[in-house]
Amino acid sequence: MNTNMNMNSNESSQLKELREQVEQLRRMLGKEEIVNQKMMRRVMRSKADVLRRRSVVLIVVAILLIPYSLWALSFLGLPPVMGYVTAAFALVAAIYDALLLSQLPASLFTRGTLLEISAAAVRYKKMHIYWLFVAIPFLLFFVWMFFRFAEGNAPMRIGMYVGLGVGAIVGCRTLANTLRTTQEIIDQIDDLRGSAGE
Amino acid sequence: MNDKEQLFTDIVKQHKSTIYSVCFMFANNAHEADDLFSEVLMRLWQGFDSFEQRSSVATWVWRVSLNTCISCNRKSKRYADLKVEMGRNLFTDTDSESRQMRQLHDRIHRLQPFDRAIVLLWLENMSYEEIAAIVGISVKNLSVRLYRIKEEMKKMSN
Repeated sequence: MNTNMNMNSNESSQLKELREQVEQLRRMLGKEEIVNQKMMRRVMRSKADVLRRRSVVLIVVAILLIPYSLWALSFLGLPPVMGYVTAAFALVAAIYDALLLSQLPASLFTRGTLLEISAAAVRYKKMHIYWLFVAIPFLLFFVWMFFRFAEGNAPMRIGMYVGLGVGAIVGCRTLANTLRTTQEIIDQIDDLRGSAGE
Repeated sequence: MNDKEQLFTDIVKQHKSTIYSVCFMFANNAHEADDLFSEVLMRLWQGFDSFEQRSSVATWVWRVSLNTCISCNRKSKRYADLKVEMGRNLFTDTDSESRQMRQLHDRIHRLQPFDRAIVLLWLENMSYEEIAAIVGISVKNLSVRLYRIKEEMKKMSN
């Protein structure tokens, strides 16, 4: 009788354990969202396409800036060193943009895991922020040199103010839009992974 | 979204854990589970118009989910574009909860498909009559099968 009771109580505890696990499974699944991953990847990919197109435009502008800066700054009578420094900065910018472009290939969104896409997007965002540590000092240097050599030349100074203003607005907007779009991609993936409380 | 679509969406949201837990128990990996999940949702949608409410919605969802998982051709890619999934991979996630669920999956998965269906319903505390109605056998037949399943699971634990 004792053996029977032990067997029955074993069965009860096993059954209880199984039932608790099934209940736990349903609780876990109850918190999850149903997603159509293919559609979600298409949305993320279209956002990445916007970022890639932007990078291509910046690469083209940077490459054109190399000969333009060498010609324009000497045409304005500014010292050649300014032209060389600007051209070098433009070359670095073009290379850096090409590197940025390689971070979000189209194939990543069709074949990569969500974790890989998220990591690439985070890397892309960080690289944009790191670029500010190069771009801002260069811009300050450029402005200082320009002011120094354009002293007493009012039209040139006015032109510089206008150029700076337009450049600053366009640059800040582009950067803000890029960071926002990248963050949207990251947030979409985090929503999916974070719904389980990871 | 029209009324019918809204009603269907509400039903799916309410019973998603039932549907996916069945798919999880019948699949060998996450892709299969997602394929089964998509297939079940498709069959529920296709049968939605002819569902006459002779049984409860929960019973209908169980029946369609289990029948789909028992009989589904897993190589079918009919609904590749409409493939849906849950935002969690119980087969590969490394947290302790997911590992426990894989242990549960391994225990149940060792049974034959039809027996798996019976066990899942039995673990939901359903009556023998309800289980028999869902799987389409008599109560007597069910009792015999359930006894055999319990013996088999006991042997597996030992």
